[in-house]
Amino acid sequence: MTLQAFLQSLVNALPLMGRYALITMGIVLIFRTTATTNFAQGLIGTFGAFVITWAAMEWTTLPLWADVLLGMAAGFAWGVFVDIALIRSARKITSAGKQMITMGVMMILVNIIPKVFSKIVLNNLPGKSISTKNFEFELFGQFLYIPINGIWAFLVAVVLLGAVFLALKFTKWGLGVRATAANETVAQMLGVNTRLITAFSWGLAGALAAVGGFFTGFGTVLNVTLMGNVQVFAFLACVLGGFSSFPAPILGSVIIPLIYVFAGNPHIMGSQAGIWQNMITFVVVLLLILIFPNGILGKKLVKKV
Amino acid sequence: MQMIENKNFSRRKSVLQHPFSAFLLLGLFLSILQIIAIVTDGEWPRTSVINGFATVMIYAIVGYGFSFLLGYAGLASLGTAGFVGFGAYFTAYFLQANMPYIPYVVIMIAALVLSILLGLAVGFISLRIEGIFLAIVTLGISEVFYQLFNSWMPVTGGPNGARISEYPVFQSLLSMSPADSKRAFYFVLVVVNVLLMMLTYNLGKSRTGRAMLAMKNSSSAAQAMGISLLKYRLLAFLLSTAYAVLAGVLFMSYNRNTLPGNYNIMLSLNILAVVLIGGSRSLLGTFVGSFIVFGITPILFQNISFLNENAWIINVIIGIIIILIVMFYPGGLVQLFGSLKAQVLKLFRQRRGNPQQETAEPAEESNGEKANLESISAIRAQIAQELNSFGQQARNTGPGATRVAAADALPSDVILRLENLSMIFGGLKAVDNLTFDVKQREIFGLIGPNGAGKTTVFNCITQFYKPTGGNILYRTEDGQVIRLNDCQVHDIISLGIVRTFQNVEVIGELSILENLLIAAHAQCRTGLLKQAFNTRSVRLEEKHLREHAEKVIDYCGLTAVKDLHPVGQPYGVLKRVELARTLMAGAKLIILDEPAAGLNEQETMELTQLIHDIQRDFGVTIFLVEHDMGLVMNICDHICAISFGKKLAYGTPREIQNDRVVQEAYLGTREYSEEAQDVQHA
Amino acid sequence: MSSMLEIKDLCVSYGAIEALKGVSLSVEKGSIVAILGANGAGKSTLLRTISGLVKPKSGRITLAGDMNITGMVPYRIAAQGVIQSPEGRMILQGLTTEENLKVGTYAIKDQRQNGPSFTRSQQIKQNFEAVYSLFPILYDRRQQQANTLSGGEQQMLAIGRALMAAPRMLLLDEPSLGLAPLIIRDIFRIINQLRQQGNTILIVEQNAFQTLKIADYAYVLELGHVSMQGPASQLIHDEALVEAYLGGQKA
Repeated sequence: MTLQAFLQSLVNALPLMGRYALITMGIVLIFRTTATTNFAQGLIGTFGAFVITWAAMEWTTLPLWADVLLGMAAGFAWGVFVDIALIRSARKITSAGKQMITMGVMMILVNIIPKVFSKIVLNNLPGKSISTKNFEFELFGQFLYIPINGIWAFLVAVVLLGAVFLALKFTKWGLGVRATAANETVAQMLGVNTRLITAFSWGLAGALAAVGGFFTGFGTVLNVTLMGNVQVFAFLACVLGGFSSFPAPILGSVIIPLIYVFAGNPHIMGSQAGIWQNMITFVVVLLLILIFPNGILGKKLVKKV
Repeated sequence: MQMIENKNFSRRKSVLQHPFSAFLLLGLFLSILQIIAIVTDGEWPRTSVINGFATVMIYAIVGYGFSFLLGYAGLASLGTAGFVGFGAYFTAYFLQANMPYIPYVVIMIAALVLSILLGLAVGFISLRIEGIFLAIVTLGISEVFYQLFNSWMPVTGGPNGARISEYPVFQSLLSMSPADSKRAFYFVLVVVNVLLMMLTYNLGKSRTGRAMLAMKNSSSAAQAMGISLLKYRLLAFLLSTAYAVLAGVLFMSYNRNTLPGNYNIMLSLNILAVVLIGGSRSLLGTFVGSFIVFGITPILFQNISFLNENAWIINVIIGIIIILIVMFYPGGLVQLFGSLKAQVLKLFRQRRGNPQQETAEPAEESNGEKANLESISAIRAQIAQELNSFGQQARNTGPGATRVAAADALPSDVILRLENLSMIFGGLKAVDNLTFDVKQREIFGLIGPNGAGKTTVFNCITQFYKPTGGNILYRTEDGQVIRLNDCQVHDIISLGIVRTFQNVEVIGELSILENLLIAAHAQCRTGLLKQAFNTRSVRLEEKHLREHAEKVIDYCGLTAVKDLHPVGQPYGVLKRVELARTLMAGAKLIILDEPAAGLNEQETMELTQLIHDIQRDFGVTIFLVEHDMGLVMNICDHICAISFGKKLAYGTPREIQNDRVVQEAYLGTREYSEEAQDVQHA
Repeated sequence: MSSMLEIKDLCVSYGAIEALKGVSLSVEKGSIVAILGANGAGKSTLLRTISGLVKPKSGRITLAGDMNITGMVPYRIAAQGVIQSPEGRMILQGLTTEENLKVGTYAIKDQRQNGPSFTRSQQIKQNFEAVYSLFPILYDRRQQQANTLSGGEQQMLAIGRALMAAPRMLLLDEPSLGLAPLIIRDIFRIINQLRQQGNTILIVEQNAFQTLKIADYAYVLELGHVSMQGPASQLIHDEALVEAYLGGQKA
């Protein structure tokens, strides 16, 4: 494999990191505050992506970022709805039960999205597109390229996640989230309105997913299966990084794209690369999980008996 | 009063047929449909209806396997679609026209074996952490498979799908016409369905099914009774995988073609719905669920074009049903019908004036407690003689290779020795260099103020925690001395060490009798295959177990409630169930974790008597951790008092009571009084 | 003297177990009331019920004579000024010492404090100063991860955290749990100090004698009901107390 191919693969991983990280952040926010693995996360993001596209095409006078905000709002609403209406209302529910509720939501979303948005095609958003062109540059004497929306994906992810982490560290809400994640009962006793906090966390997760969906679907024909692949790897990123802290899964969402691009690189895998890319990535990730059963940055929890 | 109740029960049971008859009836019904269709040459029922039922049967098979995972082991998976697809594509590949001839059965078995190997690898990695991660990993499997189905053109045909030209066996070997082959295959589906229902039923009722339920309800109790969590989770996963692959093979054989789009996330979710709707442990319910999810449209709503074009409405409704069932009706439709039935029956019962639910024999009536306790005790002694013959077999099993210390490492009258035991959590020394002996056949108490580390000691002995330092030596029934630190938590029971739990861990989904049967899990020898076919040796083993359990139940005064579920029983009864479990397991050393917690004075007295009787009749050693000083001082031969994880004192109850150091540990000292009072009045 | 907390006939059950069977007690403003008793007596259940973590079957909990807080949502009870330092300290993992204290400020309600011109952030600043002056070691360790603190320091953190909202009623659940005797002495000295500063404290303890020295009044719980009560100075000499803990019967 040439140096160019190698560097190009690395560059290809960047947009993926951005997209995966946005979903991963939502997953870990939800998991640490409500101990739920939200399998509807991807579809909520898809819904948001559809909303953004539809808004972009309906209201051509609005700037693109306003459409994105609209999509984020939709994602936020779904997140809050699932938490309050479903998860919270089911009192004596096991973890498997909560998983299954989110699976039910999956079923609902995957069927109503095509119906609600039956006529949406996202190609070039007229007049307000982020370019679908590539940005060409030179590094170490090699000519490389990266799609401009890919740069946007990476940068927006960095900014948004950076903002989330700053908020977690320095705002009242962030402190409330970390307190709830550490011990919900104690947080309540100290006056933290944990219900509000978790609802907001679910909403934020939904909003982030919408942005992730937007970038994943950019330049393609939108399809309800948009986020299928991304969601799988976002979850695996959480397992790989470790669920026991907020930043750890982000490490996973950096590592997995790197594996993914090399697993699909024709120079390594030959012409069959497209067929085996998922499988190779999956196998490598599983092997890593075998070595780090609690995640790379995770800690083993001793269960109190 | 009690007798009448039992008679009603058994009369109802004889009227209710064995579920196998129901399965056979279903098979008969399905067959008759096809026969009529053949006779009327496809007029009625229409071919589409027959095909609809075939589809229902195929996916019901997936459902039966999935019910092990969800209903018995309590795990959710999203990988079903991938495995069904694997079965279908595997079959298609090896049955293609240009492939050399391979017998159909060989293909089927190869597909099963491969998928089991895959399931082992994946399951081992993901189930080691926590059960809930299985869903994540299986989601990944499905994605991987989907990409293969869609992209690997030479093998799977890519987006165009896979095709086989002839119906296996019937057309290719027996040269029947395609139409006849398909009809014949329908009957194959019926037979397979009924057979699998029976096998699955057997497995569910066997000790494997019980073990999985125990694991689902209380993983701690399951481990304490010798059930390896990893092993049984893996088993449930492999079973569900095998059934799914089999269904895929049958799908391909019946339909002769398939598309990748058939194996997307919707299929996995639909299977989940199938099992949830039917009630995750009911086989007929699963069939009904499959009918509702996969059959209603082709079979009932064929002519309703609105629904045909708007199939999405049905899917959304199914999604809503999933959510509602999980939230409100975990038992699915079966639970719904069951509770309706119960309501109706209750009305009938009230009309006839039958007595209400019984509770356990108050083993001791409320008048003249002491005298009654003694008479109960005498009855127990008699039962005990019969029980002791069972007990012998129970204790003679032991784990294979564990590091054995020298036989003289312990004096002959000591059964358990803690030697410099330490347990450190993060920087905290929960147990600090603790040493004491427990003598054979005595009742030993461990006491200490709150936070002293008693429960930690307990968990270290039973290997729920791995001690960070020191040795725990134990003398087994056959005189060997074993270092417990080297044992796994689920092996402890086969050494004859059985524990109870502070927050009584009983298995809610099993009856009280079945709770006891679990306790003997480690002693059973029959394999999985025999259990599936309910062979004679399995039936004998079960019979033997049940007889044993009934004796233990009589001994503990639980006869009236043995067929009831633990839910709603008074705490005193539940505590007795836990004690009964220790007897059932043939314990040599019984470790009781705060046995009197939550009991009133009456119940505590009864419990004390039971503990006395157990020790007298079975010669076991009893080690208890307790806060109720009345119980401890009354019953123990020796007591060790600890504080901050360190030993304070060891001796007889009277010695401990009068020990200043112990009193200080509990109450604090009066010495500080003077200077503190100065502070107070300052 | 007014009563800060009044509990009448409180009955609490966990499923089949009756943890509290008709408990009544009252806490005078500015005093320390001790709840003693062996384990399993129901002491922690009592505090958990007051804090709203457990809903009682029956009974009434009244704050400051007029506010019925029975069965209220926990964070609102905290906002009313009833704050607990829980059993086992329950330090929040992943947060620093200062952040742990900061969580305690969630319960601050502006209007309860020194008038409308006093902003919330000013209130917070003042409370931080108060807590740091009471527990100087926490100031030294304020940037450290809270779980690296020693047992005694964590206990101080738990109490300090409860004080951050200047509570009307401070609930302490077994502050001496797992601590060395010298540290316990320090903790109790500080608790005494708090009372002298005008705080009202309800303290649950197993360590009877040390608690009785600083308490004004005490109740002894046995198996969910009050078996003994009286001024602390009397109870401390009562032999029946020893029996309540260690069982009086000669084996």
